[in-house]
Amino acid sequence: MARNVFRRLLSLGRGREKNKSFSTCTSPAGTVKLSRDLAVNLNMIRDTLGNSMDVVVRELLVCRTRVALVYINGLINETALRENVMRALMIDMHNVEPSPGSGSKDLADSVKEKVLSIADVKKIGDFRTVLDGILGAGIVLFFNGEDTGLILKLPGFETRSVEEPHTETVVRGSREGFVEALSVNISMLRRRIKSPDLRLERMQVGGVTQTDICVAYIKGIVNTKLVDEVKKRLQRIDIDGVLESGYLEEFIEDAPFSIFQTVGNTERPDKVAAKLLEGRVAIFTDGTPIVLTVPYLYIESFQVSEDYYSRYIPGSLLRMIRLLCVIITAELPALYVAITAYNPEVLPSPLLISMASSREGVPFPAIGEILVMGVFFQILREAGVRLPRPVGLTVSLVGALVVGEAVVSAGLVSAPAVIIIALAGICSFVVPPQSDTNLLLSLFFTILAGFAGFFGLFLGFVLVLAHMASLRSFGAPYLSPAAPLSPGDLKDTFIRAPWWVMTGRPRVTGWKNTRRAGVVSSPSPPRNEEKKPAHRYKVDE
Amino acid sequence: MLEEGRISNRQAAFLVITTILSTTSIGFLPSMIYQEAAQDSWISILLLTVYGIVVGRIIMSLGMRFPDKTIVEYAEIVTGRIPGKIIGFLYVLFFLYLNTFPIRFFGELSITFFMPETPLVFFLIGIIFAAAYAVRSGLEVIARANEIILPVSLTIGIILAIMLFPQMEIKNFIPVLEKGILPVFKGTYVALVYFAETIVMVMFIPYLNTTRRTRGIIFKSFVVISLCELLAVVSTIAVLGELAARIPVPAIFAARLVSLAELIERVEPLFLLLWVIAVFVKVSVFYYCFVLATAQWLNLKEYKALVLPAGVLLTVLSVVLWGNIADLYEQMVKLVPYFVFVEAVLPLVLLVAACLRGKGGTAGEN
Amino acid sequence: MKIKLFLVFLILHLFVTGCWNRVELDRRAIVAGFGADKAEEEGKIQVTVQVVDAGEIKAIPLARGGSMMNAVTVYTGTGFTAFDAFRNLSMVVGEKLFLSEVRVLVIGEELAREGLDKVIDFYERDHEPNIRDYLIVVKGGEAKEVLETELRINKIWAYGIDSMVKTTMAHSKAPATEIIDFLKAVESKTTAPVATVIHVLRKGNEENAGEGKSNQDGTTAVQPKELKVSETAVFRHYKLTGWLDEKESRGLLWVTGKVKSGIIVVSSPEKEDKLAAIEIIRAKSKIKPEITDGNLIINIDVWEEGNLGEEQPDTMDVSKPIVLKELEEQKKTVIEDEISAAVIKAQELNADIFGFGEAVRRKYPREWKQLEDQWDEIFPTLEVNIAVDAKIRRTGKITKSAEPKP
Repeated sequence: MARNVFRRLLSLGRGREKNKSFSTCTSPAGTVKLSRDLAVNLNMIRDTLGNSMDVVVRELLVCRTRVALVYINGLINETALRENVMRALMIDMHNVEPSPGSGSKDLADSVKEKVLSIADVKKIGDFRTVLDGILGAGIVLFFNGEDTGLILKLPGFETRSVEEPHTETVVRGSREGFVEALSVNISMLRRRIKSPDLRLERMQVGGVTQTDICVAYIKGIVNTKLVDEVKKRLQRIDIDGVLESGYLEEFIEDAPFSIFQTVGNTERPDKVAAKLLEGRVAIFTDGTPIVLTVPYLYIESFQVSEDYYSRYIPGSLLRMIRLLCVIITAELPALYVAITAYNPEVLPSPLLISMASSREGVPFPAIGEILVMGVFFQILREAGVRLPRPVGLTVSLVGALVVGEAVVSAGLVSAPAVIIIALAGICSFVVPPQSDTNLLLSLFFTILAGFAGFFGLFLGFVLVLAHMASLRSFGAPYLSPAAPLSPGDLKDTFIRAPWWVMTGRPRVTGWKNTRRAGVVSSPSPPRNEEKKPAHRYKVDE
Repeated sequence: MLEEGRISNRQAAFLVITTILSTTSIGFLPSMIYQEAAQDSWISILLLTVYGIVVGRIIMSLGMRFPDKTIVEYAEIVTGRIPGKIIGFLYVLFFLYLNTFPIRFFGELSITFFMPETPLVFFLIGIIFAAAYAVRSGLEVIARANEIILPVSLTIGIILAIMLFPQMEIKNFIPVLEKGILPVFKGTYVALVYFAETIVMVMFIPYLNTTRRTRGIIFKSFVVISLCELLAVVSTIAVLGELAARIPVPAIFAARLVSLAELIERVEPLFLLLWVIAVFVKVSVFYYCFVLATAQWLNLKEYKALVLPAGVLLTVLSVVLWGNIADLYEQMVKLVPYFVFVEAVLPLVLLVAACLRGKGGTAGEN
Repeated sequence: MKIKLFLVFLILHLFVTGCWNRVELDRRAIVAGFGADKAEEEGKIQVTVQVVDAGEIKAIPLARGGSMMNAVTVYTGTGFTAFDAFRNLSMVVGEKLFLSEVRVLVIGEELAREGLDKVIDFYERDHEPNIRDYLIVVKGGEAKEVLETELRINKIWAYGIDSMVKTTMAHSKAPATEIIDFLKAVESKTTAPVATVIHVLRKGNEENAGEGKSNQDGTTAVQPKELKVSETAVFRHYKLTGWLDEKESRGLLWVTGKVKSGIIVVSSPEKEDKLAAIEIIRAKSKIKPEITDGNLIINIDVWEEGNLGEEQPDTMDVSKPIVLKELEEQKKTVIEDEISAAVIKAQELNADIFGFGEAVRRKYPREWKQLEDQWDEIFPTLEVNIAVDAKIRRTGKITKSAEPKP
């Protein structure tokens, strides 16, 4: 019911414009054909792009034909332009036999075939493509007297170099992280999956920004219905701009009102590759290093790529520690409130008495303490994140040590409350994808515990559990493989089984092609000389 | 179809297990059995298991004759329109009324052991609200939540039993059959209602995602139920001995006795957790059955509109039906024959009638 | 929609006005020890509680001075029942008394003679107290006096008493009885409950002791009063009927198999005036009733294992098995003696503290039905056979004691 109210509130903002979509340009464009007259074409360009300072129009004479180059300064590779285009047109052109312009062929064809030493050259005829080409880091060549032009793809804009991702660092494993450029990102993925079945489907979203996005999946592993569903949802998006994959996420997620995220994101190419191998679909967005993966299950937030690279026993242990940390983050503050205010008898007497003594003289009730300290902690964190690193450190130091200490010694907050909040705070960083969710859960549980002690807390568990059970991400039950139970897939949940045990893909996403590895028994040193033939794993179909 | 979700056989078995165990093992039942059967309660449990399996078989056989209908729907086919409506109404009432017991008991227990000054209705609304949320979300959601809840509850139960192990005394079980076999039967009698709660399957059968191997649901779930029940009853008796007869919820009383290394003491919040999550499932299941049965009985197209009124009705009934906890106990014993009639006798009659009149297919019987 | 909103408000209302049971930790008066006595007024009960001063606990460092021994305050109040008296105490204390952390329930002798039913039911029924607390009867005194006695071992005196009771396992001269043990015995038709006994020892001159807490300077090494946990209180149903002394207490523990450790003193096999002390390491027991020709006989089998812990220097050479054999025999006699003393005392009091009746019931359920009602007549004359199997396993780091060479 709260959801309905919320929906109604949201719909107020949408108003009457519901049916109006954001189309590309407000200018002539459309499907206008190019004119044979160069001047007309150039005028069109000027009209459409306006007098933007970065639009360069260079006119020159090639074999007595007026030719114009149009490109956007800064988007293209200037060196290549100089060496492979300008030089070719103005000098090499004259060495071409038979001389261009003669014979039946257009000048454009001759130039394309004989002169330009550039790989990606296309002939174009309509104005729409011209604009897309110019805006998409290309050089457009117009030839006077011809109604076709050439588009030369020569991207040369500045991009960040490939670095180690800041959000998901690992000790063991690839140090590469995605960058902002789509093509670079895709190349990183392609380098990891050298299968012809890796499919990368390009789409464009954002009426104004015309952002390139790319849907990646492995044919033969992925469920085709899932791909169709993803594409359908992406096509439904109608917005003027997509500056980050977060825009897409909000449009395609299944449970927009839930605090749980149902679309995964990562900036690690190896992680994307692993997800694709499990039968998931990845969505790359130009302009951001964050790639989305769907479907996204709750358990995925516990799965760190390093689990799979390091040995499985410590990997499994770390999984459990992460789970513990999530529990601590979400529930420890609430437990503290429930215990101190309602059922202190669960503590052993010495601990209880020492807690009682530290609470002596504290003016707030337990729930007040926890909420105040919790908010304080979040403020510190936010301040630390946004500030430049050296200052951020100072802030956290001052906040944590000075204020924390002072607050306790002034008797405003009891020491256990500070410990609890600090512990919960630290634990929240252990599972980054969930830290925001757990924060909200923690607040929810704390308030319930403040009102009804353990009963409220446990009722909160049940509500959250029921809510999580009702979630789906692109058809996959959110709590899978625990609910619905799929015993075979529990191998990669609370523990990470060795690779030679996880011979099947997770059923929920990979049921199309379940075999992942062939060896069933554990590896052992060879007993006899005879060697088994090596298995090759290829995607069928 | 009123319900679009489908559950697997395993999910159905899990639901039956939690539904039955939540009141029988951790609830008031061990005490009720103990009052009659004393140290031989475990024999009662074995008898009850047999009874449960028999009734479960009847219910499943009946249900599988009409694999796409609930009892409210096929009662009309078997007996004709008017008697069918009456039988359907009986089940609607049954699902409503039986649910009020665990709800009320849950409230009473929470008050007695945890928060004596808190009003009853607070607990009732809390648990019913949670159940209502699950029921609104549909059968699939209840089943999935239960798939987390059941393993968690079993783990907690086993941990509690292990923690109580140092205080167990085997001599509490001797002599066997001290007062003959009669008390064992009496002990069995008071629990008949709860071991036949497989009756909820009459509402779930159409929503199973397969019609194969449905017989396993009953058998497997009763194996688990029986084992857990024995664990609960045996450890309570071993720890408390004759005290068990005086204590309405021996399991929680036993939980209070845990004392390990002076560090782990008074673990009853663990018990409260167990109790909240398990009762949540039970209440949701019956709540769901009630709402669905009502919708089918009234030929509605949607059951979701009924969730809220049903919740209010449940809350009100749970409060007003019994004045105090003594009333509740008395009713629990008094009403056994009526409940057994609805749970076991009526399905048997329907099954026989269906066979004789040749209604329904025998498909799905493996 | 309206009804939904109504529901939302209803739930909000419940939550906002919730918190019925909320009592912040610092608003709770944590009770560490609970005592009950017969009040001077007829028919009333006097309840004594030892409340922890949480603030005092905080001031742990001794360097800061202050009273290191007073982390508790003792309050006493009366009422018609235990619960009534306990609630009346709140008038004095001013905070909600919190019973969950109580570890000892101390009962004055007079009240124990009148019957523990006046206290136990409240203790079991209320949701806060723990029935695994120790049940202690004050021999010849009041619970109030016990709870008011300063103890050096723990700043929270009642916890000191608790650890004294726990330490009975080192000497096995008093049972460590939890309330639940008492209740289980009460539930049984024949078994007589027992309880731990505590004594108040008045040291030094009597006047000083009488003044109680008068000497506040805290410098005296000798406490005006001391507590001692030993001996056993024997009940019939809820009423105290008698006591077992230290020897009989250990006899009781032998039979119930609760002897954990302790010292058995025997005389040296070679010289009567020299003694040897044997430490009990572990012991087991079994009560085996036997009905032959309609006669009920109780056989008590005790198995004990110990190490030689001390001998007074003499010529005894414990490296010889024969000497150990003799010591074992001696030890066996001592144990048998202890057990028979306990049995005789129990039969005198006509209190089946060992659970013989239950043992018969378990072994002979049919015959028990006749015996059950006459148990009071049967028990005092019951034939009890005691069989002790006592072993000495080790003799310590040395074999012979140091002795002057001739």
